[in-house]
Amino acid sequence: MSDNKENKENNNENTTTGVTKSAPGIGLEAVAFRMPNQDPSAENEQDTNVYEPDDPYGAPQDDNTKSITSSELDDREKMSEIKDNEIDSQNQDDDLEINQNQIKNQNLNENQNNENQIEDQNNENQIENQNQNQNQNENRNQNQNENQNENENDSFENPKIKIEKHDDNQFNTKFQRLYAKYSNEDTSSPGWAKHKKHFFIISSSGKPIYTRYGDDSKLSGFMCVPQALISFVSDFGDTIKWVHADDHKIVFVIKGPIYLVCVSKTGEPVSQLTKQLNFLYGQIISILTNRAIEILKKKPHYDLRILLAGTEKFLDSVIYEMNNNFTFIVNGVPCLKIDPQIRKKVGQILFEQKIQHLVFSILLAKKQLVHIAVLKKIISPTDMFLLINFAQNESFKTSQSWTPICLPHYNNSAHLYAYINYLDHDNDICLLLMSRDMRAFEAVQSANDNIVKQLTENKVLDEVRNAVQESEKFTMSDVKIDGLILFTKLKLTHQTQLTENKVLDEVRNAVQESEKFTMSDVKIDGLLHFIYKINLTHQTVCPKVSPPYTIPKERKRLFRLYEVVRTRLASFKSSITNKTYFRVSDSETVLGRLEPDYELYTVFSPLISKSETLKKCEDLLEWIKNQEDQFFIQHFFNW
Amino acid sequence: MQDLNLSKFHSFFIYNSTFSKSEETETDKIIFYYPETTTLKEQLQNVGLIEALTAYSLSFSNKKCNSLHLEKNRYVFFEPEKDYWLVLIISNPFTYKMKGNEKIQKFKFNLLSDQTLLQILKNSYRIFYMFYQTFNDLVQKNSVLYLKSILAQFFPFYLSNIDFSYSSIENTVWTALDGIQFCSVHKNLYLRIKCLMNQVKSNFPYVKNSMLLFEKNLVWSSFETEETRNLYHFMCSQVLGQYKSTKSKEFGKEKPTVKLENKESTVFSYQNLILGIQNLVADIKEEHFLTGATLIENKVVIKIPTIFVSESNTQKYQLIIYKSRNLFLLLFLENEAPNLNEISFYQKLSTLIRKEMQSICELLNNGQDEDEKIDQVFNYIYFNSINLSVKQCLNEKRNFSLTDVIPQLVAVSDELLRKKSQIPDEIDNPKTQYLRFIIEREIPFEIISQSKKSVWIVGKKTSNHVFFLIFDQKNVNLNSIEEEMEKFSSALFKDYFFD
Repeated sequence: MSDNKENKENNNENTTTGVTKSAPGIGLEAVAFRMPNQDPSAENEQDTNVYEPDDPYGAPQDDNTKSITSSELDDREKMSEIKDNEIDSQNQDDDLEINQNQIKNQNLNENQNNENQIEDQNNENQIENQNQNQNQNENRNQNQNENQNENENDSFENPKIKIEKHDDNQFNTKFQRLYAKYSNEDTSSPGWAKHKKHFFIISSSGKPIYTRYGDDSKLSGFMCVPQALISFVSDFGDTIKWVHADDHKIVFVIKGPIYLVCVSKTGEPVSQLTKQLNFLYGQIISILTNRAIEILKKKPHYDLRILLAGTEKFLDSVIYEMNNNFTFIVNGVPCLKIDPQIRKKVGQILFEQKIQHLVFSILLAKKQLVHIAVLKKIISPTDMFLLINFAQNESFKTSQSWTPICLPHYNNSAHLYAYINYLDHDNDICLLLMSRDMRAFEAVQSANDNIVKQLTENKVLDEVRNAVQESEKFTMSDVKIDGLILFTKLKLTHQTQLTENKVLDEVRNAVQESEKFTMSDVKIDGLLHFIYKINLTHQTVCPKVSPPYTIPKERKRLFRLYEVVRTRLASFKSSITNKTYFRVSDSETVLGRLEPDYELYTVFSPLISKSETLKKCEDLLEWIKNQEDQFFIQHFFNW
Repeated sequence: MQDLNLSKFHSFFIYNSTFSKSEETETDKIIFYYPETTTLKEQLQNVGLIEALTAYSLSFSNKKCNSLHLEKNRYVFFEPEKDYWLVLIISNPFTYKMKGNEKIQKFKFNLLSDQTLLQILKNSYRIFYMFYQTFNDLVQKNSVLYLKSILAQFFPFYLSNIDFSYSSIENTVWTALDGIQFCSVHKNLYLRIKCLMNQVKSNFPYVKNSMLLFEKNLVWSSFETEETRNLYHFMCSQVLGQYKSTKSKEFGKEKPTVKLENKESTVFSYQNLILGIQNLVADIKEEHFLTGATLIENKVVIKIPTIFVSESNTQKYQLIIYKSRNLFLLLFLENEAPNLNEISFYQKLSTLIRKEMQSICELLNNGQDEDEKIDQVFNYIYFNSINLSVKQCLNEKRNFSLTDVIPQLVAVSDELLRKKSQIPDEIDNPKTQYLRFIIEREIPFEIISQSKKSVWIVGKKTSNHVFFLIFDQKNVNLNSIEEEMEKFSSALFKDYFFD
């Protein structure tokens, strides 16, 4: 209850504080926050292009790119104002005050950033261009001001701005969402039936809330069919679980007034699809909290899309992660492999900066956990997955943000406030400080500053960065493409620091170790891939895929295979639970083992014998055991 | 955990949406609904639900639905003829859980296998077809009303004979495999049987085909594999459903003889036919006809059923079954054969086959105990997809309970026997060939899974053979399982191929 009060107060407060702070409470609040101590010259620019002067890894000012973006953004602001007015007139609900301006502003931010994603995915030529740009920028920066150029990361930063410039030119033709290119489809479109996996969310009154593909308003007639089915079946006093139609499975999950439906022809087990729908629901909760659901219960005809507007991309990206992230299959928390000493140092630094209302301090690197300091309650893997996915959003990468998020397992009826600070954009090193108090912004910010200061002073950040780069090479052997480029970068970093730093011996060691860190080090013939998870802490090791799984289709197949094995092995509600599951097909041999302490999934070539797989599993376990303190957080810091 | 309440039959219905043209005539589309006591409202609701689902799924794929999983019930549907849908509803098994003072039902909605339930539907249609041909034929030749009366006669009796408890190998894995249990016969004996069959054929030219069953094992059949399977299924599930084998103790208890209402009706009654045969099977008399000239209450009655052996074979046969102890001879006569209504025909036939049948039966009964060595050691199920042969042996001294193992076994068999790709066979098209290659290499050919109760289930598939092994040894690992499998396959295949 105290949380509720707090949020109400915040609501009132919001009306006075104006633009910069995000609307708390139920509405959509994930708005990038502009720092108060920001350079006034950047006043008329959008949040996405603001680089903090404080941020040691922020980009230097680049006049060419900035002027272009700012002029275009002005136009867009006008556009957004018009849209806002339209929506304002439509919005007649008194209970929910939503700052529409902010939603739209945020949408704009998202536009740019999602375009980045789309561009990255679709346009290889552009990536080449970017690389060229990168080189040019490196040269230019080095020439222009050698003093300011503290390390290589500055030059890595520039292409980001360049990319945005690219996208800005194409703004009118692009949409914001991950699956934006399908957003005009409806059931009559030829491509509609070809999608392998549809996700729909509808309300109990049959109102569409979300669809992965297509336009939800066009599909509204189609989307209310599941609602009819669900209510029809509930008239019998029964609950619909799923429907099997030849190669399609239609899975239903009912969460109070929200119905989630997945239509899939991927051949995944039903329990996996159900799990994915549950996570999708978790994502909605993390944006709106349970209280929005309560309101929907009372007012079933309320259109939840108003509240969720602009956050579809979070749902999109959760779906993407759920279908591509190996650690998701085992419900694990991915951990960065790093020197245990450095990990401990990170933990200590996080631990020392304890302020009031702070509940978690987390350092993430490339979606992997480096260390975490927590208050009493341990964070559940479900929440961790949602949090990592949330923080991955592009709009947080360009500026420090203060944004509300609800962690359903932690407390599903109130928001936590996250201070998200990307310390290193290339390596996705991200500091997350979660506070219970919306007004604790200043305190959290200073804690953030202290942590950043200590991380950089102790050179911990560099170590983490190196570890990230090493971990990128933690594939079974795909050194040719990613690895080599990274390796040269690593050398450069190494040399520039050599002149300045004493801790460099450590870096050198890390670099040398990185060479051992490829899958060849495991020295287990025939082992193609594995996932290992500690049951107690949910920490998971999973190497990057290597051939043959570098081909996207093969990677997906491996992913689905793990899903099947995991279902057979650990399907929680089913009575069919095995301790060992061994499966041979023409393409591979899989051995899954569920032990009290750990879960292990290993994929071997198909021609291996059973005794060999067992032996190699033991070898692998020993190999992991030997480096346990590098793979996992062994010591937790609790306030 | 409380004891598991097994799955139960809920309802079964057949509908055809095209029979209802408007709202007022909505009830017309329900051709058959069982139990009849179901309210019309519920009938319409269930039909409506299936109609909605099939329509909905069509927006994603051009294939129609197979099953609907609810928490309490499972629906499986099957469309054997255009627009005619058979729907079976089964209540899921459940346990009771105490929540405070309340007893709450906890449903195990994942336990039943769609494949098995679908097979039950397919079987029911198969048997129906044998005696009545297609639904559409009946409507064309007669009327919808006539079809309704036939269905009302056939299905209640048919369904009452099926075990839906889903607790034995017979009604789970075996139903899904849909195979034939063969009786292994020595060469000499086989030639004698063949000789007998030829003798019958030459003496009675109207006899077109023949089949010989030793209890529930097939000894001889002159039909194609598919037709043999249908007939075998008919004999085992319908005629010999209640038959108690001399060997096995697991079959159900003998039913008391049912008194037939011996009305001389002109309409063929499936129920009367089967009950009549079953009574005769249980009769103490060692040798007599089960169909044809039968002795009922000291009166000779001549009744010969007409059957169609498969959907691809339009030939109509008249079936005569002769029993000699536990050996059953089925003779299929050309339709409209003369002399069939004369007792002399049966006397002639009987004298021809009687002695030889007796001696074959004797030999089979003696030879039964020989090849049981392998069965003593292993618990296994074997299936050969070429001749549809199935063989199972579950050791009586096993350390596991069947209800624990069956769900796991069904899961393994479902995955192993997953239907191959639906991609059409276009040899010329390299793209479809590639796609098929991609899909097929994903299908596993060997699965070993260990349950929490440490029962190991091994499923292995080669091109035509599938076998499932159950090991109940505790504290063994994959290595010893591999050794056991080697022992087993050498024993099994020795028996099968190096006679």
